[in-house]
Amino acid sequence: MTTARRQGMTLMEVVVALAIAGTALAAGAAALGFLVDQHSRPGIQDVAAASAVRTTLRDWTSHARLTTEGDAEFRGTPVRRALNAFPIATHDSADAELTFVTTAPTDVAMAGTQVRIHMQRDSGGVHGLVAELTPFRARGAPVTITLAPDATGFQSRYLGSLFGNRVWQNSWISTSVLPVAIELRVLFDPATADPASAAAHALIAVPMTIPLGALR
Amino acid sequence: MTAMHRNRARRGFTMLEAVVALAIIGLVCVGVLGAYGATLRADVVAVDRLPLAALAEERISAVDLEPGSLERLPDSLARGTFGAPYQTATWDTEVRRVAQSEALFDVTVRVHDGTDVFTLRTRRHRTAVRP
Repeated sequence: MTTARRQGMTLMEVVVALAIAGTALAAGAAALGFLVDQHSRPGIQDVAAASAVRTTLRDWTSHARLTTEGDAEFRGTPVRRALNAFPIATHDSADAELTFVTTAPTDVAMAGTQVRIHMQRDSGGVHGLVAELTPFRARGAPVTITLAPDATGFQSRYLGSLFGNRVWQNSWISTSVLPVAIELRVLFDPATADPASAAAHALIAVPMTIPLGALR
Repeated sequence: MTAMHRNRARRGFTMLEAVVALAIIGLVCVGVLGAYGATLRADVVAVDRLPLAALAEERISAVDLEPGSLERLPDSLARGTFGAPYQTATWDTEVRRVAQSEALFDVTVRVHDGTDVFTLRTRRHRTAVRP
């Protein structure tokens, strides 16, 4: 008995213990590996980024402001997609271009930024939805941020209040009155888009109805 | 004395010591990996629910933009379905006056998609709506 106590473990005991511990560890690692796979499955980071873009757009536009001096203009108009297109900008053949001054903090200024949201187009085609940020009433170089690199279109409507009646309009240009709300739509072409980004596109394509100014 | 020294030096771990050591190591591993796994799982669940959150936010905006909807919610704002690609999702909205308050309302939007439910609850003041 005393000799047995003094012996320590036999090789057999160590091997069995190691085998049990190894099996348990392997099962745990497999479960964790499944979660890591889920986490890095294609597109999941894109979905998080798409959500951030929505939050940013909502933040900027809901803090759109005009000034009593009239030097801040809210300008949202449809712009023809190509200069040689049929010269009537219908809602379908045009992209919105939206310019306003926001008090939300941005990359270029903490309290006043002119934001211009538009589709980046040149002779090479469409290069996504971008925002051009310029400090308002201050010096500073404009900064261009890409919001949705795969977007193929951008449309916007503006809710006006006329004698108590609410009407959605396709353009809004004013230095004195803000729309009651705006609706933004980012469009994607499923035929050309990467299928891995489908979830992110579907999220960012949900129309955004954003009440402006006095509602918040 | 020399015999005892030799005996002590030759002794390995006892079974009990080894088991206790393994148990401690095991518990630490389970704790650390469990926390890591929970973080990953929460991330995945949260990202899957982002579209539902976006849809719910749209329904809150719809209530905000309809004058008088807090006092009397129109049926068109009470429940409905979404357009593609979220045609499988349904929503319902509920407005309740906050107890002992004339002008405060709790707005609850529930978005259902299969077994997944996302609930967004917010509080609105009646005069928040511009005439």
